[in-house]
Amino acid sequence: MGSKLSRRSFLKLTGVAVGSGLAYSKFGGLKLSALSPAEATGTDDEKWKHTACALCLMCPMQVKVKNGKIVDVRGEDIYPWKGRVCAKAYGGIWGRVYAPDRIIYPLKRVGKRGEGKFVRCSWDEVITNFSKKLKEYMDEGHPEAFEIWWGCPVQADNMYFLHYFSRIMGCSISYMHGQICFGDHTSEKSVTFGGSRAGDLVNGTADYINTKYAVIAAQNFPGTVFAPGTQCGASAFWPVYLKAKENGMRHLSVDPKLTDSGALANEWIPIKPGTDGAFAYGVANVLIKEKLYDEDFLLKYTNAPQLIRVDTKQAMKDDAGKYLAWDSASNSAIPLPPADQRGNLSLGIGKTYTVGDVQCKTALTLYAEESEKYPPEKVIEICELPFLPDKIVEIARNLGNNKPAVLFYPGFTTGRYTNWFQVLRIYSCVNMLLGNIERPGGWYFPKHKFNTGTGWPEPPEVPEYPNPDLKVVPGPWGNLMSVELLDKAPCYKEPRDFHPATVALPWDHFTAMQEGKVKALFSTAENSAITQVNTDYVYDCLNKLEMIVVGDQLPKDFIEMADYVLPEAAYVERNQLFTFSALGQDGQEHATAIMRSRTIELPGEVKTVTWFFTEVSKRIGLGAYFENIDTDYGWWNKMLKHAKLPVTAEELVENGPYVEKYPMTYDVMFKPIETRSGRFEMYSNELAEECYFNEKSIWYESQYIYPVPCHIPIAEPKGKDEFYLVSGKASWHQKSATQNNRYLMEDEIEGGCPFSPLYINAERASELGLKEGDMVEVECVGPTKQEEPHVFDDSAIGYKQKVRVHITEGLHPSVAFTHFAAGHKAKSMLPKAREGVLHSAFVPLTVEPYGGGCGKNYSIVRLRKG
Amino acid sequence: MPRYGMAVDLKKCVRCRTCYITCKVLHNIPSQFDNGRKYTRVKLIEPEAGKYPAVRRFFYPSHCMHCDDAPCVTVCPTGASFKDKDGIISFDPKKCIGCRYCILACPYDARYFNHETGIVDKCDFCEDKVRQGKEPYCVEKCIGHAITFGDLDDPNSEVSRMITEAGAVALSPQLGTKPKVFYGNMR
Ligand code: SF4
Ligand code: SF4
Ligand code: SF4
Repeated sequence: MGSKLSRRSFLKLTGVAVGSGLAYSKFGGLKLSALSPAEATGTDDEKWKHTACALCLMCPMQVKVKNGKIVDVRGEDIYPWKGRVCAKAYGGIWGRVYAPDRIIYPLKRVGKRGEGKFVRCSWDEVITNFSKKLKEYMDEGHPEAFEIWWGCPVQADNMYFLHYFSRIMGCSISYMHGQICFGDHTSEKSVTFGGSRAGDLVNGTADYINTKYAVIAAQNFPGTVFAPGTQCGASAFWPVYLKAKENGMRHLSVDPKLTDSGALANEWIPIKPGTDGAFAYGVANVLIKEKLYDEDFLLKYTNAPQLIRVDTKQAMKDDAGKYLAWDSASNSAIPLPPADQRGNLSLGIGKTYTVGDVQCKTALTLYAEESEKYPPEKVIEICELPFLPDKIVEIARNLGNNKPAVLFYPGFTTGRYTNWFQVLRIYSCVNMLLGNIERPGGWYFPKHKFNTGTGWPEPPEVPEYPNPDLKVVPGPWGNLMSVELLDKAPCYKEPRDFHPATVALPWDHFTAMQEGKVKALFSTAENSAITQVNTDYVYDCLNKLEMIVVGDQLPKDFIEMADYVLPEAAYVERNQLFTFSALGQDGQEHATAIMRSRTIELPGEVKTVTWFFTEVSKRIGLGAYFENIDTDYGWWNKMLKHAKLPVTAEELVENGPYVEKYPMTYDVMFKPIETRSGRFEMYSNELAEECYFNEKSIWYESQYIYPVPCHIPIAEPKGKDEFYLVSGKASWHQKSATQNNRYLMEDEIEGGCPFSPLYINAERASELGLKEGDMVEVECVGPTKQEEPHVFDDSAIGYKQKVRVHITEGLHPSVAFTHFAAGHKAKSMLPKAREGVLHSAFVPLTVEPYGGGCGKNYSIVRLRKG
Repeated sequence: MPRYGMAVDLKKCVRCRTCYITCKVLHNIPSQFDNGRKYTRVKLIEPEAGKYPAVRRFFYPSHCMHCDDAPCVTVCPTGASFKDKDGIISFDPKKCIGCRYCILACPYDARYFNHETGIVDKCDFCEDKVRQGKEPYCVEKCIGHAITFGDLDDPNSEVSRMITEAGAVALSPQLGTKPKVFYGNMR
């Protein structure tokens, strides 16, 4: 069936008849058209209502509703937004909420999976069949064979509720997308800085407006939700970034591609993929050689002075098992004191100490020795940087001389290989050298956060929980709880295979599907069918399932795999509480509570996911756990109460955000450091004890988790026609919510950064005889299992797709670049969404030791003209 | 009577493309995927310059320059394109016969032909809003607060100061159309 036909037939099932006036006026520019016919009739009520965006995070915004329809959008008048929201926020309303292909009825698949053939069905049919399946597994004693996957905490309809549902039913639940997004980062930050500081450091929360020099890698930050600085989306970040620039901040972008943020930066450092660790070590090498490090910070807050045995590279301990450090006053080893106590400790760079008859060096010495492998000339060579070696010296001096008002950030997007956990560790140690944590212009931890809990109803509000034996452990995302099943069991065994702060372990889910242990799936607020890497394998797993149910507003790849499609309420059609602490361009902390609210009526037969699960619970006979739950207000009021806030959900909806303003206070020790040494760890005692020196660990003696971080080379493109295939985000895109969007996908919004083609460096292109717009066939050739020890499944090898090339000077020669989530498979999406290459399909599934990343950018391809 | 003009401070433009999209959705300009045509009043110009690695990408939003000597007005046979008292190059859709002379005459590629309505369209400085004392959408919504709008005849207006103090200049002034849209901190 032609793709066009498919899309047309899909449209018929959704909002409107094909070719009708759709929801839009076709009279652009006509002054008469300010009001559409629908708006011209009816009562003339007009109101700005408080709600929140969801296209990347949850910017507080208002929508102007006139006669029941949204006619304008603006940011809330609070810091850092001050009334403004980004392009995606507008695309969200007009290209998603009001899209003509909006799914407004439940659909049932009639063709093959992936074929995109559906007919309208009733809610009753979906609820009946879903409940029957879940009940069947429950009766067999395996409710966990039914999985719930949710992808985005701001797009999902009340993820706390979803976890509660899974607790009551005993089914599995996974924040599947989170691992691809940031899971390895969270693990690394927990290992290095302790769990309580991990989240803020992953977000890159910083006192940005006072920063003098920022090195930001692997990140086109407007396209990545975690814009360093504010904890919030791009709209919150820009005002802060501009303020920092106004205050004189210099910004250096380290990225294979000249991104939009790279183009705004003072300097672009095009780096070869996979070499970020060598780059960071090169900087560390200069900082140490030129004594540009912060000695006081290292002695007080890090385990840089901790003594490590020269023979075994294990921590030196006293008889009581305490870690040791060298006391220069008594010239002897003493227990490493708690953080904040500098005493007479010695960093002892280059020295060897004798404790008893054991030779020891400090953790810093080991780190320094490792850094010596990366002198500037070597870094230039490894990273294939088009500069003289002095560039590394210059960057390090800029950092060292401006410290602590400096940032050194590894980024989220264009990196991510199997060595990424160690890259993050090396970066973290450079920040320790710079002493830029909790200092003006450095990394910052908001001190005022609202502790809302999860809002879970508990007995006696509801009957005693069923399945009392189910173990519940901290889930992803701080305060969420998960049933300890697939995702979490390997993180709680002895010794752990993965750090408990990993978000999900995707390969375990796929294996469970292959083995028939997972048999059915519900997915919301994500498009994991194509955002998980190694797409052919993922599809193979999905095809084994007895039932797939997917909810959303618009067609996407996962929907075409579904047996039933739920028409889900969009983000401005339901209620949800968000709390966060934003750092404003006014230099203050803004502890904020906002409500996303239902600003318009639900179209067609659209319902919320919480409504759907409540109906399911009744059919299963567990309705008592859900019947008195008010997900519009009651749930959120409970959370507000838990946080002791003097405001109700109703008031937030009616009056807008609740904000408490606080001056910023810098205090490294504002809460205890939850690492094994109680200090920020340059030498990771956790990695040493849990993994590297632990014979029972699956990572025993793996350099990927060596306690002194090390740079590990990754597989390389070989021939003249081979490239790393790297994906990154366009500034006006973010996630599945921004794709298939008829405004955000337009050609004219792209300016000089076309969305669909494959970017190739001009010189490489000319070597291959490629001209702008030429067609190439892209084929995945690596990393293979031979080249890379951590390839879990390499179905991607041999995957091919054709694409046009875009030739640019703004790209590292070793790289072919594509925007993330181009080349979609779904026939019911906009034709343009299907142009280009589907990056994930070219990425073999790798497993990053202990951090659990999936090497989301680790792909080598061969290009052939034509 | 004011003489309206606009200035974009490129130092504050963060390439977010909000000006592009707000103009489209709030003026009900059809999406490319409604009719297969790329209608827009705001164009995003983003040329790449230089050789790897010394390469830069410039960025500026561009639309009707509201030229004081507007060739589009001169060539329009019906008076559909006209200069209003406040300097806005305005447009009366009822008088447009779709001859498209103005599109050819405009050196800034600021106009497009709407095939569905049979008439021409372009940026009108959101004149309906401006005459109610409000700002154009792109000014009101710009994430970077990069765009200013106001009276060019008032030396103290923000837009005048962008020209006199920040050195904002017109694009291609040699074309001689006397544009009233200026760009500051071109890098
Ligand atoms: S930055 Fe993200 S959450 Fe904020 S308005 Fe833009 S898309 Fe929405
Ligand atoms: S809205 Fe403002 S900051 Fe964004 S692209 Fe347009 S001019 Fe630049
Ligand atoms: S930019 Fe073009 S359309 Fe605008 S006034 Fe000048 S000539 Fe006319």
